[in-house]
Amino acid sequence: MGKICPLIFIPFVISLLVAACDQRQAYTDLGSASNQEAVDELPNLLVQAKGSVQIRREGWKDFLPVGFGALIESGDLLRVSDGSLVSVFCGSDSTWDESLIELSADGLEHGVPCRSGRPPRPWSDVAAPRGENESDIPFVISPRNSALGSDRPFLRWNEIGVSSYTISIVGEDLQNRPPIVVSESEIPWPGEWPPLEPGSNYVLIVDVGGIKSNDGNEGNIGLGFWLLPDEEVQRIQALEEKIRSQNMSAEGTDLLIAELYQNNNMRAEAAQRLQSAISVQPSAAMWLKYGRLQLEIGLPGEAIQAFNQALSVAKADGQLEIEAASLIGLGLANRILGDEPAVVELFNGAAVIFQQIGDQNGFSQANELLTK
Amino acid sequence: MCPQKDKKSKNTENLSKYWEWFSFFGLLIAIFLVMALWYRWLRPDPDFLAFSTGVVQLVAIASFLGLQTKGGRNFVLRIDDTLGLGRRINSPKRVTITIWTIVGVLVLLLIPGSQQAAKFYRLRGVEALEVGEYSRAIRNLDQALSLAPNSATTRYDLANAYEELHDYDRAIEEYQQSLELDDSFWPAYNNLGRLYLLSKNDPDAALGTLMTGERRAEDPIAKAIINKNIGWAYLEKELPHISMKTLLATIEELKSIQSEGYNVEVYLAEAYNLLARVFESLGDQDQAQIALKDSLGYALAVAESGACTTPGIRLAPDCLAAIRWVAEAREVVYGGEGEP
Repeated sequence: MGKICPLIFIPFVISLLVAACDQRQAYTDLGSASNQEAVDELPNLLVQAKGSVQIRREGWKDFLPVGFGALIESGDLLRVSDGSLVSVFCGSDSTWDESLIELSADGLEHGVPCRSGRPPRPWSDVAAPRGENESDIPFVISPRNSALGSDRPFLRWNEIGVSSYTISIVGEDLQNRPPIVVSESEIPWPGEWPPLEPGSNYVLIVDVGGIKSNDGNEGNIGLGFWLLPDEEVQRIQALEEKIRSQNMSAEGTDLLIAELYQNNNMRAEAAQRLQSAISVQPSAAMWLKYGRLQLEIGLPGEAIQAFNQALSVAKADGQLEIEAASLIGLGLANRILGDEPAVVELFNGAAVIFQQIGDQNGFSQANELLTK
Repeated sequence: MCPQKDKKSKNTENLSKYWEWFSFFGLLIAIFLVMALWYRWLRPDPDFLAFSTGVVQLVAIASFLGLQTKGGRNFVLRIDDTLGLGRRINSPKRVTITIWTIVGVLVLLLIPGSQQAAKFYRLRGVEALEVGEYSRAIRNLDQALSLAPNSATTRYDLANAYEELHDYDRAIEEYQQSLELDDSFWPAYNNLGRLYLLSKNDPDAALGTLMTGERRAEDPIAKAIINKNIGWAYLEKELPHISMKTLLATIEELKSIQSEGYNVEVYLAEAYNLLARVFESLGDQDQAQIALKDSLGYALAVAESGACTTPGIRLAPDCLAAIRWVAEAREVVYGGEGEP
């Protein structure tokens, strides 16, 4: 064995080295596929519902009518009659840029075309721990129990038929905001007051001859409001722009922005948006949504008015689910006002309807609220 | 044996026995490693392995015979001269170092290189599986297993491919082998149990496998998926009440998972479909209809999704299953009205 030639190995070595390098490259390319964006989910909503549209939720015996503003979830079935029009907004923020999904008006049932979306909150999370129940007190309507995006919010309180109100702000920012006497029960932010500052809590106090808006609630529970930090406001504005970029009706846009605000505890500004949407499309679902928001803010009187509107529209349209939900809302509002016999009757009425349509979740919630 | 220039040949005669034996030993190892690599890479394709072996044998014989002739030797010398190897590797020490360097490279290729290549082929196999090219998937996964035979996940993927091709016996075999390699790999228990029901009609074997898997599974989605199939196994065992209880608990669990943002519609559709069968077996037609409508809601959510309706894309197994459940529900509930 004198001469050994490595020549024979060269092609093998080169080809195997090339193969190994190729593999490493290909493998690296596949490594970055699993990044996920932050999620700010809205519910999946019917942002357009014209004509005859029906829904069947999980467990229900049959289809029932449904309208603008209704929340839909995976597992629901939607039926759109010939000549009707339904557009769905999917709440996952990864799909906000996509156009609205229009369901075929073929009279057949369709699934919910969204893979995710914020589920509805249970009723027990909605009602404020306390609320206003005296009509002769100038209690604050807005802002209260709310985060704010604007540093100069609109101010509104209960009209009690007097010629002047003295308003003042209790704030943690130590800014001087002297009391102001006004004749209206709603005014823009006074020009002489410095704007709100992030990081501080505030309470609006309305005084009419010694009768104050926070009488009986000296701890100001549920009356506070606060300005969101700049970066938070910018984030929400960016999301708002994303919603506005959709080719949608004004009321649909208002509805979605109200949901976005509610996600961020901006209840005062959400209520304004919902009012605006209701003025165009006063559907049962929208009234119900508005009532729930008022209940959350701690205004049972306003909530009762909205729930009664929802009830009336729902009865006329045969929307049994909203009828039952409105009864629940009325029950909760009456509970805040201390009318327990009415509460029992309302919750029982809701439970009967939920059972009739086969809504086990609704039935359980109604019974749970009855026993609380 | 190897052609060298005359000057080099003279130098070679002076090589010590030590360098000669060391080089010879390295050469033997290198040849062994080349053969091992060759076999590993070509084993999944026996035809090509046989063909390439034949070609190499022919080349070896031709080289041996060619080197016995003056023309052949001159030809090899010309190649060597062109490449300049004889000038560079011109001492016994350099020859030995070269050979052992090659041995080192080959070892690297054989051990970590094969693992990397196996990963690469597995990924290609999984990609093929996802787009429904099952034969290609099997080829790639076989290749991956040839390079790294002890991968439970690759065996599981291979079983999946066989299952999609309805080769249930091969699929069962591969799932079992996957579990022999890793007895904590819950998806293999789940699919194996499902196949016992689907192809063998053996609910006892299915229950045994699924219950073991359920204990091995740690995350809630895995448990819910296996429990759904346990409910199915009870149904096949004609124990409808236990089946119903299991399926209802599974549905609750799946909904809770769904509320956290996971897409589990396809499992909910299947669970409700099974529940409808349970109610039917109990003679409760009303509840069966409600369960079928619930199944329809979830099945339509999957079947009408972009993943299942985009033109030009092969239908994924979940889409096919959802479409089947839609058709079943429409057939029973609406007498076949509507598009399946």
